[in-house]
Amino acid sequence: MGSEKLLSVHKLRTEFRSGRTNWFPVVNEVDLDVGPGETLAVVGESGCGKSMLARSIMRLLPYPAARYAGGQINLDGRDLMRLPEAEMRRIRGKDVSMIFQEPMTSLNPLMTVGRQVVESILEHERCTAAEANRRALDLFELVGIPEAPRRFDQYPHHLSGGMRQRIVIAIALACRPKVLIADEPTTALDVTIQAQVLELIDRLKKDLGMGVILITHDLGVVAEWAQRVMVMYAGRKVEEADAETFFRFPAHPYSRALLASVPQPDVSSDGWPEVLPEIPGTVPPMDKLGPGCAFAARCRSASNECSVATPPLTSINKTGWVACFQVNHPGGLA
Amino acid sequence: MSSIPSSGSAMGRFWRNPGAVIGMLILAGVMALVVAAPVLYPEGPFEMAGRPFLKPFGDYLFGTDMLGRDIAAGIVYGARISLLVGVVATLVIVILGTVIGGIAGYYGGRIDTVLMRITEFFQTIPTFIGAIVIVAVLGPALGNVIGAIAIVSWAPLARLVRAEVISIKNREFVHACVALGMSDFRIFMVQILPNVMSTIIVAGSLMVATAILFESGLSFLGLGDPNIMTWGFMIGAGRSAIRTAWWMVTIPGIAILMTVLAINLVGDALNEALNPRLRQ
Repeated sequence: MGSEKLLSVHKLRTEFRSGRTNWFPVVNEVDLDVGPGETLAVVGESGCGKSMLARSIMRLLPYPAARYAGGQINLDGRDLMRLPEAEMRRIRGKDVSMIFQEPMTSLNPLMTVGRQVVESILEHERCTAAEANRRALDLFELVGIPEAPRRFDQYPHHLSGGMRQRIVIAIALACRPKVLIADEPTTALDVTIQAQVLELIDRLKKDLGMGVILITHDLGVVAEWAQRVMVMYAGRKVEEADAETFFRFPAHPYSRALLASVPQPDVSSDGWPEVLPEIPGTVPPMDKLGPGCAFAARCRSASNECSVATPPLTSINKTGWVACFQVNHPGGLA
Repeated sequence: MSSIPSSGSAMGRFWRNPGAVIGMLILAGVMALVVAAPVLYPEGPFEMAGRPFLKPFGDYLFGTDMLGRDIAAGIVYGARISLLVGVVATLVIVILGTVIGGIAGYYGGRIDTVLMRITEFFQTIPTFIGAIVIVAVLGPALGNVIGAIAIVSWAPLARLVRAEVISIKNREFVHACVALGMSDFRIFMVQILPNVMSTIIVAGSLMVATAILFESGLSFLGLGDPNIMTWGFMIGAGRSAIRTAWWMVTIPGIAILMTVLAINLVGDALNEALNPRLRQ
């Protein structure tokens, strides 16, 4: 960590309202760092706070249902949490951009795709309409849209899902952001298109020197495209590691369970496919969390200690952190 | 995949509807009368042209009334007022309804609550009685009539726009625009409003017909501008002579019927052409 990090989030805490006066955390004391040209994957089951983490960084929390309860979001030495809304608006799309999950609905159906890219350029930069048009066409080529001039004047419904997601990426990259947050950018696309889109994001990341936060629940995607992995569970970061270390030596019982439940094309010794292991139960609702580790109820290695206190995030090697009593014990799981 | 943009196919759907063609033809006829009025009847509608109570299709196309005024001249000049009231009142209603419904829907929360309570207050006033009271208090001038119609009719449009804006606002592309740092005003004008426009156009086109009926009703009750010949005023003036001179009431009545019917046909056709829920 240091000056070479683009975005660094420190002890971020976001809360949701339940009832009139009760607030419960959905993002709980999360730290993260992204450097230039680095992809940080955020993984976890549905409902564990991944998307709320992304929206918290963009300061796009649903008002009045959610609020910030502390922490810092440093982008280029500025704390985004302290900026007034007008200032924050200038940063969104220019310094931090976001790609949404669903390419079918994240484009305006009544506007030509070219126009939508032009709009996003004009939003942040003073230039003539002709120049914005030219730059939009360049962006079309950059994201690999064939026959760019013809596509420019088409409407979203003329384009396929993969093409639309390319347009969405072009819009997000219009002002060359320093950090790109991709919230499950490929879950709505089929596998071949998925690979193309992720390859595109990876290439643009290297060309433009961006930091990427890739939110996904697909560990295959993580293994292929991410340099660092962060596992979230019930709003907390439970493990962070280099991608390679993570896949070789997952530390947290939840990470191990996640990796074990990835389908493998192997057959067992008796010639029948193995039954896919699953993690019993579901993520506990975050407004009903008691004391202790949130994963304890589903964890096979849980002990009494786990249901009493929340395990702190401790470093296990030079680049990894994990929050688990069983791992941290001398002679424990690790 | 065709290369025709969606707006083009909406026009196509509109013109393939026989109701739309009939409605547009009638409206074009009324419009031609409005333009040609000073040429056809340079003396104006209040000029006594001949003997009173002349039957229609004689010396005068639609006969004369009890003061010997040419009814055809009244119809032609009345068309001008009917269309003027319909269009201007609708414009005021659309602007008022879009601004209030748009702000309420876009911002939600307390702003929405306050604006919707105000809207409901206007919705509880019985529309026609409300218009009568306003014109009776302010006096029977054309501007007051238009204002009264707008004041009693904007509330349903505001609620409609609010509902549409809420549904568009929660679509992902609007979130994407917020994430791009667009300002609220720009998002509303450039991204949301075009998506709500078809609803506004359809509701507005039907509102023109309602406004014309309102104006006729007010004139019939003697609350119209007394210096202006309107269809409602002609019916009101002729009703005392309905048993001896049926045409004095019937002909302006047919004029109202045809115009309102034409506008409703066009409105329905627009609805079918633009409404995404009815689109195949």
